Amino acid sequence: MKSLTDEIVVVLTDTTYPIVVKTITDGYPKSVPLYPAIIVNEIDNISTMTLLKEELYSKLTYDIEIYAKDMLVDNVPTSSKDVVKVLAGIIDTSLNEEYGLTRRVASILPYNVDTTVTRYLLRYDVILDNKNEITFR
Amino acid sequence: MSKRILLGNEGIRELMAELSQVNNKLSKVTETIEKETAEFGAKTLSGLAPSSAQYDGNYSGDVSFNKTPLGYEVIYEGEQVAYIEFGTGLMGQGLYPESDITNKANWSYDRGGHGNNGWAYTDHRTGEPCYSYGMIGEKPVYRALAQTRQELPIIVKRVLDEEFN
Repeated sequence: MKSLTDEIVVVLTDTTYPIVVKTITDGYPKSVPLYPAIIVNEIDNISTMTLLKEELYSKLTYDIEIYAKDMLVDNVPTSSKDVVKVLAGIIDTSLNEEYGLTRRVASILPYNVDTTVTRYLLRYDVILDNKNEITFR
Repeated sequence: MSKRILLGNEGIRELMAELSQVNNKLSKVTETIEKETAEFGAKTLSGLAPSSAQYDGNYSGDVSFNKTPLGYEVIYEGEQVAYIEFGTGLMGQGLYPESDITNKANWSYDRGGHGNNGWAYTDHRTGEPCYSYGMIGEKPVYRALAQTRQELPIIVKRVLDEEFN
């Protein structure tokens, strides 16, 4: 069973953002996460074709959660909603270029812990050719 | 399914009438498939959505389905359903408890006793302690969608067999 979680974290870490992203992790971190934060979660990994006990294709689904607070960007007060949307756009472009992921969800989620934090979800599907390590839609 | 038609005006008229009937049947089949798929999705979602007893008596939401101009939609509504689906999210800087969470890694959701201090759990994949303010996403909608996708070819085949065989 193959997963792209680690690779996605690397891609997102190597991506250039106009805002300094302080936390990028696989799953919720052990240490105190700093905002803006990007959390990658693999929520599904289904085998779609197996031949002679070898998994040929699998369908993977990823949640990318983005958290941000209101902040100064180039000394301009910027709302947390604007921050998450800018980051979401860059993440989307980056993951599309790298893996051709299909975006299923892009939405602000409720977050009742702190109203100055905006929580945004991107959800993606992709088919992985396990043998040739090629992704496609 | 096969049909023998004699060449000629009569045969072509017969064929056109036959095709018109098939067209009418297909419209009915599409409607039936959409409705049965929605029924299956709603039933699956109802089974996957938590019962209120599992979440401290919090309202676990209602599942229904409606006909719309574009087909059918399955609806999961309730005050807390977004948290049930997506979880309540992580706690970041400024919200994190000061205590050493690793000492509390054996905590589990304490059914309302944690107040504003959040709770710790062990990540089922890594085995590492994590901290959250609330529940992990149960994803009943996502899981119901996945099951409905798998069921769709079976529904389509059954409805087509019933109508044309």
